[in-house]
Amino acid sequence: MAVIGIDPELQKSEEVADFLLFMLKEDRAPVPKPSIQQILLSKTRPGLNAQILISSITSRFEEAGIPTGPLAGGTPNVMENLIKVICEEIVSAIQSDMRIDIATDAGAIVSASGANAGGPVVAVGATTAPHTASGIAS
Amino acid sequence: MALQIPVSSPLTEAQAELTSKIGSMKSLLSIDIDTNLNIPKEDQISTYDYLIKVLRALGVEPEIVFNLFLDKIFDQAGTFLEEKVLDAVADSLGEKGIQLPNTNNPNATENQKSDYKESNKLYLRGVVPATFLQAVKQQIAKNLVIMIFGPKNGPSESLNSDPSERDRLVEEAVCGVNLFSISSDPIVKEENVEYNRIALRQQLEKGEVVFEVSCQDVKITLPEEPGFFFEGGGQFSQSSQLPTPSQSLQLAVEYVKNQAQNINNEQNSNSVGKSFNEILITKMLNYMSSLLFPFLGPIFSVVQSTPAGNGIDASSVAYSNCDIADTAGDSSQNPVEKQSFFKSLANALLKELLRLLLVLAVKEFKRLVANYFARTAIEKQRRRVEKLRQKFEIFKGVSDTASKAAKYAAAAAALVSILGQIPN
Repeated sequence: MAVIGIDPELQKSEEVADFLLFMLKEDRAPVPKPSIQQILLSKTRPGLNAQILISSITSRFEEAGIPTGPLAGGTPNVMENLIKVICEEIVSAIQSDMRIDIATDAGAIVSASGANAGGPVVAVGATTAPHTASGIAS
Repeated sequence: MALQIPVSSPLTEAQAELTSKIGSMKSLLSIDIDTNLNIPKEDQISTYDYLIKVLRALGVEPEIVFNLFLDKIFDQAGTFLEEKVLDAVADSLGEKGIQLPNTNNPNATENQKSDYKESNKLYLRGVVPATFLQAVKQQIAKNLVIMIFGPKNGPSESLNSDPSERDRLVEEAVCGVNLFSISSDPIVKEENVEYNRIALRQQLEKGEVVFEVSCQDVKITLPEEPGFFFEGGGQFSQSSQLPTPSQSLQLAVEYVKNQAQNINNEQNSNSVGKSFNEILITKMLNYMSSLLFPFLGPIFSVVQSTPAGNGIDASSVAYSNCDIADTAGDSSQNPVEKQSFFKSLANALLKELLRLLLVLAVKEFKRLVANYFARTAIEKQRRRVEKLRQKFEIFKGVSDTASKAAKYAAAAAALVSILGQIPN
């Protein structure tokens, strides 16, 4: 054991790791926020499908050097089966259990039109309280 | 014995789900809780070891940093080493309760000592020229070679002609080995330390030093005329140019690499050269106090001229490695005071080494992260474009709201040449 110790101020291996991890996080490109048009067009999306997801993943096995299809001697490819189970369970959980909670800020512009005895009435205003909504993922 | 027919008891889906869930919950409970979360600082990997590990994971060999470090320490036009030596002397004097130029307070408190150290640093930097080691750096490097390779006599005479000084250097090398470790502390028994010292003394006196590099012992002997490390010529340098002390030490590394090649293949000799660089740096940090000892005169002529520093000389600040090693466990011998100069100097040099390693690691890590994100973004974009292109190829001319039959017809259109006309 060394007689003379390292200055505790120089014992920073954990801090070095934290700093490099911070850099990794900071340099990550943020996911762009979708535009209103993109969000509205989501209606045309087909929705999650476990089978399509499985085939997309297994089609990329080759990139990772994993064989596809039955193995030598006709052994079942357990990796494909595992992906099938994982995808089916995840998609099932998203479609059956996932809950989407939405909150909108107060201040959303509201315009309304109607009529009364005096004739047509047009009103413009803003919501005064935040509102909540819920949704399902499909 | 009667024939036993096994009972077939298939489980329903719910029964199978429950038993497998219980099994997985039990498995999770049996996994040990991660005990690596709260490792005390002193038990964690040393910063030096970790940075080397990070650099190697990044695919960068740290040799460039070792060379830069040597350049900085032995820079004959720079004052880095001089400043660190002055600070270490200031720390050592402060630890004795001396505040230059006038205060000598042997009963100083820890806070007072801390103040004295800072005050001494300012004072010494103001009165001692920061160039006091520039002319002797070549000799310091020569003495370092003697401390690493020995021998007491023979080839080393061309590096230092004073036999008593060579004796001192070898003695200091034996006592100084592993006084200060930049790596995580190995668990070594006291008797093993003693055995290692005896073995090292024999090797240094004989001039046949065994280094454990890349998990193998390599026996190195200084060349017949080691002066070529420092005077140019020889197989590694141009004879017309006098190498700098840092280059001379790199020539010594090359020499070790070359010697290793005699007993190894080319690939291993490279790794020996790389590992020996680390050994050289570690030994230099352990030996620096002893290497500087003969050259501290300009500082102590100033210190002795002050009322507080009267009677203080180099030997009462830069204690010998043997003295430090022998008194380490004896509190009546003031081990903290004796270690103060060595500790301050070694840690200051280590700090600079860590700074260089960290700067390189951050630079290389930033480059890796940038390349990684650029590559993954391109991949992602490429896949998305390819999917869109395929979709467009199939469904061009068909609106998103078209009927399923129309989409089917569009998708199958590419196969008309095989299937023939597909009826709607």
